[in-house]
Amino acid sequence: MGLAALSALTACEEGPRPSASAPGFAPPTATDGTSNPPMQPPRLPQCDPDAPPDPGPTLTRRLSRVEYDHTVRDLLGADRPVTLARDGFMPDEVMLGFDNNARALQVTPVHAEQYLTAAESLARQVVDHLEDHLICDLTALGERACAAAFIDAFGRRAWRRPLNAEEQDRLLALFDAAPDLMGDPAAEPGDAPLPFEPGDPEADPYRAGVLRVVEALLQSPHFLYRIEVGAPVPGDPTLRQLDAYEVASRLSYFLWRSMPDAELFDAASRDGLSTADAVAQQTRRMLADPRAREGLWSFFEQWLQLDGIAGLDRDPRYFPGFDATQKQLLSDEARAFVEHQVWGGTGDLARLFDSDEGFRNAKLAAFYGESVAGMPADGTMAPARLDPQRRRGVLTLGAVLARHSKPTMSSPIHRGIFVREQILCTALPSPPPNVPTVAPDPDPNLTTREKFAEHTANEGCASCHRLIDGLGFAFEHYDAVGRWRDDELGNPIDSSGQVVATLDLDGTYADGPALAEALAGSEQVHRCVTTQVFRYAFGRGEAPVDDCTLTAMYEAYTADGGHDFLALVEAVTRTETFRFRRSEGLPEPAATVEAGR
Amino acid sequence: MSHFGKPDGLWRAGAPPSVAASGPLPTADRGGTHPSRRAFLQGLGGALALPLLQLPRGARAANSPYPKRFLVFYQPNGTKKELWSPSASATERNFMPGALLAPVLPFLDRLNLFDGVDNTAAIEGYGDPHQRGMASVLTGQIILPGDFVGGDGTRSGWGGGISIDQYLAQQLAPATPITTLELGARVNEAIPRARIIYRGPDQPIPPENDPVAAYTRLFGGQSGDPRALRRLLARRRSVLDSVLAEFKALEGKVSAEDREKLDRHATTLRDLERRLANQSAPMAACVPGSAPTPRDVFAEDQYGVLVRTQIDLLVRALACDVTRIGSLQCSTAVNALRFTFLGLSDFQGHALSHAGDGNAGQQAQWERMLTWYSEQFAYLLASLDAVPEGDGTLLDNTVVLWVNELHRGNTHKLADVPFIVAGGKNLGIQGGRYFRLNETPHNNLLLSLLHAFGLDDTRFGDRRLCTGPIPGFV
Repeated sequence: MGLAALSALTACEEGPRPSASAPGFAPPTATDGTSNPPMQPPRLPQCDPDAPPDPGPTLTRRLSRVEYDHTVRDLLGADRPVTLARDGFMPDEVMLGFDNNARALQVTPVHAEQYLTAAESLARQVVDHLEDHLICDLTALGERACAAAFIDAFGRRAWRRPLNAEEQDRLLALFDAAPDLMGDPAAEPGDAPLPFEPGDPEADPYRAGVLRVVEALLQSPHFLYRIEVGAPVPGDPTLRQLDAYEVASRLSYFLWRSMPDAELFDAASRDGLSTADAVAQQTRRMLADPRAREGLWSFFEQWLQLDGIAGLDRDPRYFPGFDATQKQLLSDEARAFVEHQVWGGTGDLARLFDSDEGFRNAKLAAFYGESVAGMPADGTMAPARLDPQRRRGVLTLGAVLARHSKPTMSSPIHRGIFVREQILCTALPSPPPNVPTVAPDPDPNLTTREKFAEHTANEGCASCHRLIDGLGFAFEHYDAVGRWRDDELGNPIDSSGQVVATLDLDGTYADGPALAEALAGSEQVHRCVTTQVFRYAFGRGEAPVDDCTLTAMYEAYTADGGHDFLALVEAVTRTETFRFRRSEGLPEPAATVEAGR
Repeated sequence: MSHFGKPDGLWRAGAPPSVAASGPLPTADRGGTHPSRRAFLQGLGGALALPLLQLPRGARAANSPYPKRFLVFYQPNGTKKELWSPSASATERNFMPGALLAPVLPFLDRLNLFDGVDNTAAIEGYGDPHQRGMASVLTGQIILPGDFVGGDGTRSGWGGGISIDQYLAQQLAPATPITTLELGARVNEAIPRARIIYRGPDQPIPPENDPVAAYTRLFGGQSGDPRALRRLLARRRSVLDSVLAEFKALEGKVSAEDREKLDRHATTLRDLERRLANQSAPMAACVPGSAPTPRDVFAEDQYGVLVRTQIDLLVRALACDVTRIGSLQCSTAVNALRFTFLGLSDFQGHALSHAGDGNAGQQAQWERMLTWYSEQFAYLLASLDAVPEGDGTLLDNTVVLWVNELHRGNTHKLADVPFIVAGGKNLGIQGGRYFRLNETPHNNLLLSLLHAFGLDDTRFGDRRLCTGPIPGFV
């Protein structure tokens, strides 16, 4: 049933009829103004320097699971990674490939319960090591004064800003109520008191009160969300400038996926984050901290879809022994390679796509069928020069090739979609309604490529698959676990592919390494890197209003003629979009803005 | 014919129902107790009659009717309607479903089959057909635009409205410890094609995949000293009160869209408070049974066991009146799941659903998977029917809706999508009926179900796509 029938159905019903412009009935292409109609080269951002500044839509962001865990680690001063949220919370919704999208992250009833349980468990840990968080002379000052000091100090770190008087009072009231909550609420006068287990901190009114305070702090919107209100900008009613604590959190969650550290809090308290230079100075400091490596890995892991390999199932009849150990090896290789290109290497991110440097140990080399001579026999990965005819860059990593394969065979379609979507930032058109989708021909004597021939023979399929298959076929020399193959069951492999509808990549490529080399030098690819960083940094899709921000990021990234990823990161934090928000939708500025700070 | 070894038997020690033991397929004549249904239940063994499940019979006053319940069972990637629908000569009360439904034939007198019902709201719109079908199958609303990338690279947002289960919960406001229970089996993605339940536009609810976590949520915290439990709940309420005050203080400070998001969060906290209050009341003499065995909830070969375990939990939650509204989402649309536990290791379900019609080998495997889902649905019905309630069973007080987001995998067609409604005799649903309709929006079917629960709505979902209840159904 097509649109006409749908409209006919609605004819008898009140209310506006669907029209071509109604939501849901528009052609499924551009949803945010950035997607491109099919078969067109991508649209480049056009910065109009005279346009009024507009930081785009700003939404409150909930902590993702990764952010919750990192924040807890730093808040409690844990000396090892925390996996409370990773292991115990519902998975985060993934939008545009990232798990930190403001619109996607919501709180369902199950989340609320998980936050409650986690807060109770964490409060116990805080109280069990209370002296780590507060030195207070109970005898001299009294319990209530010490509780107030705790609320001030711990609350400021938990909420990533100082608490106002009203907030402190509310938490102190919770502390004060603890002694009334130590018995059975349904007890009759004269009933025996309800005992506690030996050593239970609930038995001590002071510690019980602190437990309640921590439980409330950690279930509060000020902990679970990053709430950004900002302050009015003189002369521009459309803007608000984020306050120093809000900027500090933007920095720490972008670079570390965690809360600010003492130095950042200190800068915020001195209002030292109000200029681009001041922010960039903190950025450089924070990039030198080990937490940046850990934090930004989250970007690369999601952008390059390196996170799914542990869950891959491979048919043991075709890929015997592809077990958790092998998957871990591919995973370790991928991380070593990507981090080397970002943090070591030449400092040019183009090498991410075409470098023939690799990382190997004896087990991994054996898995790939390469010589193991001189390879580390233990688990460590050592740099290795690879055969550039076979392995160049991230797209020829086993982890990437296996991730985009099927249990029994390689998948040029999945590999092609991955390159289109993640590396070229192209949105693909939807298949027309009710077009039969055709499964690969099962003839075992055909190569994978031949099995998919129908995609280009059938006109209905070809319109989409022209965009996809040519990119995917380039990787046909790699099997479903990422190993090189000279032939497929004795049949020669054709790894050539035609690439269309790009800015600067159109043409025919002989194989994966040839395509990798082209990708490394492609403006479309590096524009896409910029776009992906934008989505990750701001937790939303880019819109035309962000063109100047994207342009500034791209210019900084390519300023020295190369592709400096860390310069790109710093450029994000220098933009006005990073330090301002729209005032749109906010209540009129009143004393409320000042009261809290 | 147990394909995955013995189920854990959360609260039943017997073997799973043996579909093969139900003997030759019966002819579908009319309603009434079917001989083979008896055989089916006998196949379940006496172990079903555990003390826990007999309790509700006497646990309620005679003048108190049993609560009305609603369940959703989701199966992915379409079916093969030519092996599902009754033959052309079938009539409303004299029909024989296709071979894929053989496992549920013992319950034919409790089933309503629908042909010609379209997932109309999904036919056009953003994203790929799986995304659109998922977003609308329980909401009757057109998918929203957004930034989620579908299997073919196109983008969509979340579903555009509240799903029928959540709407029922909102309208009926059952005073149960848990308002609605969303369970899943290997729902391992967090994107539109992995969500069917919505609290409202853009508000998907993810299902719980882990039976152990679900068990803890349903039945945890009920053991031990009731005085200590009351104390714990009082402490929690005190903390939640303080947290809610923080939400309240924020109301005037954030933008409208943020306020909406924070409001929804605050609502869940108020709901949690209310449930904490309910929990302190003794639970209608319910024995929760033992916790499920922890297992890898994303391992392919565990899938069969997980589906059964979740069914067991769902039925127990209803029987104990911990909740009255629930759902089981079996995997996701476009899953990459092979049925290795059935020995089907060559292809995953989504790939098989795409097999060409002439590809006999793959079609046979796909049909085996489709039949397996019918077996699970039969197991759900058998489990509900094994819980006595008054003169009937839990199945008589439960409307079970079996949905799929697509008509067929290899065409991505969204018209004539398979729908079955089972049970609900005490809610005015007869069973043993076949409705041959034509281009009927599924909103109409969802609306009919609202009427079974005594609501008098005139539309459900997108009002433009709902033309009224299905005549003669409820």
